[in-house]
Amino acid sequence: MAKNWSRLDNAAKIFPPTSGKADTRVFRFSCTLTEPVDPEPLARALSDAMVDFPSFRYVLKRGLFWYYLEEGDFPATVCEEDAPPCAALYHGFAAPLFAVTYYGARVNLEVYHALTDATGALQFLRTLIYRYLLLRHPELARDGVPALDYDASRGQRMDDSFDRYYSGKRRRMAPGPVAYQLRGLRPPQWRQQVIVGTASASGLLQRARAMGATITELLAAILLLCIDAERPLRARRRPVVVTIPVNLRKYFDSASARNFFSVVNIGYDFRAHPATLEAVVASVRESLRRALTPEALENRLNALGALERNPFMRAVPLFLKDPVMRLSCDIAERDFTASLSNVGRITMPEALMPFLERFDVYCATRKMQLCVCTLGDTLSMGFTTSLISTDVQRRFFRALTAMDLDVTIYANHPESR
Amino acid sequence: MRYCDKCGVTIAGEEARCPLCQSMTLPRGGDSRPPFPDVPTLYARHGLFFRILLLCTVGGAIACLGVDWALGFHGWSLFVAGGVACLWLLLYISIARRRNVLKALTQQVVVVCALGVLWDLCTGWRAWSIDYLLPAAFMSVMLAMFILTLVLRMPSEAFLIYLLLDMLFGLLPAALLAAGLCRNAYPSIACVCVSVIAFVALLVFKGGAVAQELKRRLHL
Repeated sequence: MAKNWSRLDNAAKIFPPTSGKADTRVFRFSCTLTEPVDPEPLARALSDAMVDFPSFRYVLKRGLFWYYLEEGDFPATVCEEDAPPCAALYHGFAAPLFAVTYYGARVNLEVYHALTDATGALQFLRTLIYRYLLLRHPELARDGVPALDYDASRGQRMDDSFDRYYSGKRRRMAPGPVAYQLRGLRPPQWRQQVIVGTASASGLLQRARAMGATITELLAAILLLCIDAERPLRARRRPVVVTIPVNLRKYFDSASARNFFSVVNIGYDFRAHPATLEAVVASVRESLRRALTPEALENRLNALGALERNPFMRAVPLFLKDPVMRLSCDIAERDFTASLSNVGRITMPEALMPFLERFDVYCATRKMQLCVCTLGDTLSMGFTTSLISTDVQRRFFRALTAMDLDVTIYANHPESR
Repeated sequence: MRYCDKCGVTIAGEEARCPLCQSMTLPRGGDSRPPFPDVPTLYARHGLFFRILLLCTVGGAIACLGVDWALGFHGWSLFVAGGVACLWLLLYISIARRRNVLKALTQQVVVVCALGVLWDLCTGWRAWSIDYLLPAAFMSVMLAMFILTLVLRMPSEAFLIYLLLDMLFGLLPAALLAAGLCRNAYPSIACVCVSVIAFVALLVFKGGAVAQELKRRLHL
């Protein structure tokens, strides 16, 4: 039988050469339920969800010129969480690019970024949880739970939207200034320091509105201020830059369950402008307004698309391409200090809400990443760093408690006790 | 649950110290389960065996160099040192590629042949490497791959590319024969014939899969 296969999408092409011990390029979405997880129905739900999402069956392989995805043949298995968060999934051979684990009442979905982005993974996790709860509580199915609001055919889910919206209009991307980089001691074995904080979504939204900002703008401003306050004086000649992934499905018509995102960099020069929350929020809002136009996003999509279509780049064998891509990624990634990714509000059918406590999301990184998502009134902020120091996180969450928000912290121990 | 009065945050689990500011926390009832399982840091689980092997082999090589030196240096100890280096190179490949046996075999056969030619050159070229080693190595790897794919019931896309590569290697003796480098032609002729027959067999039985695999692996 002929095996299905697929080229990597434009964003995914950078992940296989650049993932390693230091940055596994794995992110975790987890859903905490109100009761302990039962592994047997979870495995059955996973098996069903893998039929719904054909791209999750794919494994990564090396060709002579490019990596590619090939339909794999592996069973749907779930196991209890037994590894550090966001541990490597791709080891250079054909293995699943995602893993489903459980711990107490929490279901974790870990995904290698070459397979999909946060939006695609979230659709998969929502389907998994939906199917799990219906299997675990058959009475729900009898009452008739409305289906999930994800409307996409198999073809739409497998769509390479980068390719679809590449118009070939060549534009140059001006490289940004080199940003300040966090430094410090690292945990053993490049483990990630994970600190998840939850707060009231409505409370935070109210405080953001009072400043005329969105939650993303407010959190980006606080993050910029916290990083600035922690850095040594002599590092001030560089700007602090937060990179914000943008879900391109909002700007281009697509329901793909594969990668379809771009990033915008939001910087603030603390030497030239005041370090007050109001000033930084206003600057972030203005930068986002300028960066988030369909034209600007299309330019970036075309510029990156042109790179992979460059005839010279295409004809170079993969073993030479890998180090080149690694080096260019290192150079390109000097333009930001940290990432802030707001997945936004997650919707689940009303009948399932009593069984759900919250969703969390966080992503392996060599720098610092803050991933935000909301379920009901619970806003979850997942910090990851590969640094032992927690000073930026301390300032960040103290800034929230200073706004009279109740914050609960869930942290791991990257250094084993 | 615990509470940190410095940060003003509730902390899940029974953390004695605040994860944010590392100051002492106060008890606050509720769920006591840690939010993440504790995963012990394992440093090189099989480290000791390899360290002992490394010390024995390197120590032995150094001892040989010493004895050779004491007896007026005849150079035989250099072969011992070379042998140890070859052993570690081959061991490294098998361990680094242990998850993909066929890839390990393909890389091993290249390295073994290169090392064989090097040894032959260093010991006064008698052409044993290209006369016997290369044909034997290529044919035995072909046989090993054939058996492995049957025993492990591998799907065709898992082995085709390695089998094809090895058949390509198997044609190398033809080039060496044509260049007139071989002193005993029979093993080389056998190797070339076996490679071509294996290739024809592969095309007959898996022709479609071969075409697809090449299309995937070679896409630009």
